[in-house]
Amino acid sequence: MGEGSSYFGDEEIDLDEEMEDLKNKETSQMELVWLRFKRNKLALFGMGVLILLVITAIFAPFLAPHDPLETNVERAREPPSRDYLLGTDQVGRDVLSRLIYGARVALLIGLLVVAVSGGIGITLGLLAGTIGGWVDEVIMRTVDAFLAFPILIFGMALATALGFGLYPVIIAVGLILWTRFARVVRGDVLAIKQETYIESAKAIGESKINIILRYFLPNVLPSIVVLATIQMPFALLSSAALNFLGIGVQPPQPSWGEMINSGARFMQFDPTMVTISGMTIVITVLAFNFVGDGLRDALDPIRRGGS
Amino acid sequence: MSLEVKRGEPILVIEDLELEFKTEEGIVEALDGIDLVVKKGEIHGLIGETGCGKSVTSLTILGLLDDNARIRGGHVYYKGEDLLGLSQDDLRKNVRGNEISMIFQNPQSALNPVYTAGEQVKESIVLYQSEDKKEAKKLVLDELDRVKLPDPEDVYEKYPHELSGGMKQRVMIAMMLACNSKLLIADEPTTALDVSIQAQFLRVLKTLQKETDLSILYITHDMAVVSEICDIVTVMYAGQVVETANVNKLFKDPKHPYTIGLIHSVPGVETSIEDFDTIPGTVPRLINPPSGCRFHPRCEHAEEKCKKEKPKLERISSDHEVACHFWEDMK
Repeated sequence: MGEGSSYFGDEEIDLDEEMEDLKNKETSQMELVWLRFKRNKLALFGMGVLILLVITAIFAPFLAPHDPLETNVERAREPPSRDYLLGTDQVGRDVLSRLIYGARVALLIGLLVVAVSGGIGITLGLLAGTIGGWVDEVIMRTVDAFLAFPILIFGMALATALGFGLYPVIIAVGLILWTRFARVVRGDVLAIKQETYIESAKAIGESKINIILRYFLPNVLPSIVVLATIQMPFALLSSAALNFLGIGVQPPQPSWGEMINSGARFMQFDPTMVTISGMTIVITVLAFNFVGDGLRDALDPIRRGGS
Repeated sequence: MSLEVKRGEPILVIEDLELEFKTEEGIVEALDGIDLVVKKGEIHGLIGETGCGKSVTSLTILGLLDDNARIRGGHVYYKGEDLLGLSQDDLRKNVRGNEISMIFQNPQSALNPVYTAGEQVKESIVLYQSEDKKEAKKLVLDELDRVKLPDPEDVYEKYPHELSGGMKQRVMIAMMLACNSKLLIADEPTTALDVSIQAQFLRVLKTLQKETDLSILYITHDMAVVSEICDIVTVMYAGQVVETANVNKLFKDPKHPYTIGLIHSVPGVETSIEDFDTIPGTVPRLINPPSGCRFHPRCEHAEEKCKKEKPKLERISSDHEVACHFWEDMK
């Protein structure tokens, strides 16, 4: 997680001037954020990768050269060739097509896990931070308890209890990752509580719910956005691990974790499949991390109230 | 709270207010019998050194104290009703905003950074004046214009970080005015502003106050500001009121040794730094406050009686009250 190297040296002056210009041209917040974001080349690269990934997932049926489920035992475990660009797996399915369709599963898992964990974590974090007292205690000790479980064991137990498949994995991973949202949101809320505008809001007679929704929530939003992008790879990795263990997405449905699992079995003869599916996960995870980092740097001035 | 108060009649009456904070080091006796009367249509200055209980007093009025505060006694009457007897819910629905509002010390963080200035003023309008969107926007622009912000249309669209401190403070006033409050508590609103902006701000505040018959409780430690805009001044020291007087009288003929010291310690253009008087010592910590008159350890006129007996706030003329056993001996 690099510290935005563009923040050093004369580039900064450059940036300030550019921002000043833009301010004069009546720029919106979002444009300023974008300006800061695009100076981080890694973040831009990450975003490019993610856009590609989304396109791949959406247009999978058009992009995949073969049916990802179609088996051809006669041509199993083939190395890359003109027919099968990335080779075939143990039952002769096209690895490239399975990777492409795997993007759908990966993104679906990422988004839903973040939605589940974010929904739970943000709500509980806001409540813990704003109400305080015993509510805070109960919520944060629950967080501690959840953090004490080894993630994978917990996920395995849950997935086993809920049954194998895509959705149990999403719920299991979501139930593990909400704790981070709760912690970050609560921490932000405690800091924002000290701000005069919260006292001001009380002084004009705003209701408690309004103060939470109109004052606290929008001000923790930048942190949430950053955290969501950083949580995404965790979600991918944990679900890939569960898929690898055979608990999650069931074959023949393609998923990257399951492909690593299958590929690992004949790694000694042909490492192509395990390497390629492994690399796909690594690149995706890195891309999310780069974007998260870039977003954090770009949004930070807003979080601190501008200037 | 529809009761109308005529100009010149008391709108806020604080009686013998006693308040303490529970801290890890012990009980802090923050307010020790505060008496204060704010009349309709006046600007009432509340002055004293840092930590003397000015801000605590104002937060008590609105019921915005932290959980570790405990009110030991006294009353805060607003239009005849004791605010201390009201629940948080009552305070929120019937007092904060529509009757009493407050502007705070630090304009830099007093506005919500994620909304434009206009949207924030609109929040007050929607709460207290009109829910109609078009009308609300027009009313917001009116308010921004009233606080003499140049180009209200432009300011409406600006985020707080795009505004200067002085502009932010004026947006704050617009927000409070939009609530149609009858009493405004201003807690050192000019401390963070530079002097010329400060003068501008005070002018706007004074004009508005005249136009709307607003009552203002103006909290500050700046004697110059007090002399500029206040009608009546209450001087506080270590959680006690030491003197209340008409502003001219207070500056011409102060009776309490602390007030005298305060006035003498204002540096003038002519006086050199070596010449001007300061009050020896610092405000005592209120965990174990001095007995009797809390000022006695720093007072050059103090005698045995001052250590034992707390002086009562005594009316010495129609618009002058002082709490000192020996006020008659002061110059």
